[in-house]
Amino acid sequence: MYEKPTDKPTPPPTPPAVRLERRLHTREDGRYLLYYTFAPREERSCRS
Amino acid sequence: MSELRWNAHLGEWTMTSSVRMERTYHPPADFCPLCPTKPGAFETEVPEPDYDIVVFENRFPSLFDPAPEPVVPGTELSPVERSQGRCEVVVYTPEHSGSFGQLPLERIYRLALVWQDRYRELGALEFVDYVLIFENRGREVGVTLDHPHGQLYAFPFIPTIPERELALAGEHHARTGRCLTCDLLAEEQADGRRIVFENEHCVAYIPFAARYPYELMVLPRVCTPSLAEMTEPQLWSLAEALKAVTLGYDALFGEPLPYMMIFHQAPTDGGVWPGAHLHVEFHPLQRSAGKLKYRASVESGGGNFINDSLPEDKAPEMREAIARGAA
Repeated sequence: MYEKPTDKPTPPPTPPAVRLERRLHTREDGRYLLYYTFAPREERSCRS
Repeated sequence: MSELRWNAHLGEWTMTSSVRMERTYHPPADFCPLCPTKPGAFETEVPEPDYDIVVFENRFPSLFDPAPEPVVPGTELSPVERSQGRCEVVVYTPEHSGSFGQLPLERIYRLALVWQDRYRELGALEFVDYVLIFENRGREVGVTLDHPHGQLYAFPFIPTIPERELALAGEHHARTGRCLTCDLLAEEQADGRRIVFENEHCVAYIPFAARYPYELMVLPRVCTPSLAEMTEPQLWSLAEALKAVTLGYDALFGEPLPYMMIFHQAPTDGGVWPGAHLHVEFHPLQRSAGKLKYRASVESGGGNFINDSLPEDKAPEMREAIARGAA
């Protein structure tokens, strides 16, 4: 018998702060290709 | 030769694409077209020697941009349209071996960001009404390239099954003011027996009326119409859930489990879809170790599935498999 968890599900770690970037390549036959890369994203602080 | 032919009996489009007969069929690993192009070796679909994630137009598409003129004229009952659309291949990793579930969590999260980007860009095209993201896994599902990858179809119409789901969801919303998928999820959570995985933002369960013994529905807890509205924490949770269930599938019988992974979400036709709630469906073909569930006469000709098992019996097996897969 299934027992419902009494605790809240464990929250996963925070997702990594990345910025999606992509570069277009067009082939001789006209078809496109996109290279996706992921650069670290700097988080802004809110210091006054 | 490619066009859309209207099936007047069923009220749905059939896509013809004779170019697909020529597609690459189980090449040896040294000639995988999805691997990076190594110096001195043959040029693959990806000209560079390394990459992270790549997306490219399928060499053997079902939908074309621009689409050719149809080869036959239509009739009043059986119209024909140009097969205007896009078909893309999404290559998850430069590594030839492995599977979606074996990818590191961070890579699956990056992949989710790519899916989100493709949904937004393709959905913004004037001729695209629906973006279908999917992965066919395993030769039993017709996969011809073993390298981990998925696909995207940008349709000029809303495909039949999502259209039917959205119509039912719309009726429910008009009647109750609520989301059908949210209400079904609430029922599943109240019952609990068929839930197999939960994390902060997502839930996975075997549907009440599952068609396949180990069919799964993975979805965000909060009503989110499409990937475009998913926040980064939601995408991270989704990535974690997809990794957990696909590793669980492989742990079920101790061998790679063939499946279809399909994203259903809001159309991109400019319409209002109050019942749209993103969900990822898994259709795994196996019913037990070494035995496949076939889509035979009753399923194909009658349209109704016979499930040889009870979802309430299969959910504990799946929960245990997910635990084994994560170990």
